[in-house]
Amino acid sequence: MRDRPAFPRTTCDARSTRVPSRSAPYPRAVPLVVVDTSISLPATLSPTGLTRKFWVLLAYGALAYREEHLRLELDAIEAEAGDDGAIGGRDAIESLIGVAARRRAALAELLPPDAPAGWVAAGSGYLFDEYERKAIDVGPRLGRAIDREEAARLRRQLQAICVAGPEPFAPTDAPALTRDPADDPIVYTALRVGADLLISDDRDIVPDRDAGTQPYQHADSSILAITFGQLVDEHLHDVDWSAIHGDLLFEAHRQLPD
Amino acid sequence: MPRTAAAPELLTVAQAASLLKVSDKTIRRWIDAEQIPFLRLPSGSYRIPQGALLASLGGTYDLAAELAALDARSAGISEDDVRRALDEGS
Repeated sequence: MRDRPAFPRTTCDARSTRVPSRSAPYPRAVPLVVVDTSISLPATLSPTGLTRKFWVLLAYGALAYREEHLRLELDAIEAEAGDDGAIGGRDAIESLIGVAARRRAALAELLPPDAPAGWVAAGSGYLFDEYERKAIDVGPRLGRAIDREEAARLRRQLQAICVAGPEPFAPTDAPALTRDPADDPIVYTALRVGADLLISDDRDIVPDRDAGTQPYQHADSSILAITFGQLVDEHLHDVDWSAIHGDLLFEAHRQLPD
Repeated sequence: MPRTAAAPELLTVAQAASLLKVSDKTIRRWIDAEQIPFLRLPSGSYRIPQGALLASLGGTYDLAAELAALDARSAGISEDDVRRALDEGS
């Protein structure tokens, strides 16, 4: 069996938390990934397939992460508000924590016991825009028109699994990193957010298909771009994919009684 | 320095609107309705915690119903179909 490559693990507490969480669930290893349109479009436009199954895992990871992170966020804004500020929607945060916990538990019941809950995705305004634009563009070639309204619904599916994002930036801020200037802000998104991996089957992002990976570095940040096949082979080879079904994504979003 | 929602990151109304591609007015309406959490600073301006904002989308839209409708329209489309269609367009 092939040695598992060293994986750059990150922990949520290493990224932040100026104040300790009430539940103090960290440190917990959380691989943070950015998924580009070459993966997110197959995952969302085809209800079957391995990319959709991976999407289910990202939704599962998002629920687990949100449950934990929202507690940290509530602690942080309470500290930030101090004596002079005011917090609105405290109940909403408490409610979101409860919803995430119940959805995670419901989804966990339907996933194989060893399904990883630690994979989480990050997005950016540029990534969401690019996804929406390509969804509209690719629709006719799939025999179905995708209008702006449907593209916006698809965009929300992408946003729903993203738990983090970089500070908003202009696409023109992105340095030249790839062969295609349109891909540079995607790689830059991954760099700015401190992602561990950028998952992409785009040949301009991962040119060496045999290696299946491409390192990127800018300033003090570095990430590894990796093809979906390589990701599955190297990091998710022990997942029982046959027990994960694409329609489990409904469970991640389903309204549950209080 | 990377800044992620885990940071926790507090966005201005304009930044939150830009991230979600909605108007500033929509963000303010969500704030007024307490559909999204926010921090009101002593100056009267608002900051929105990014993680809670993204999480609260599920409360603003019925994502499960939207997914069901999207998947019904995509029935019969394989991921290879999508990959081919993407390749044709590149």
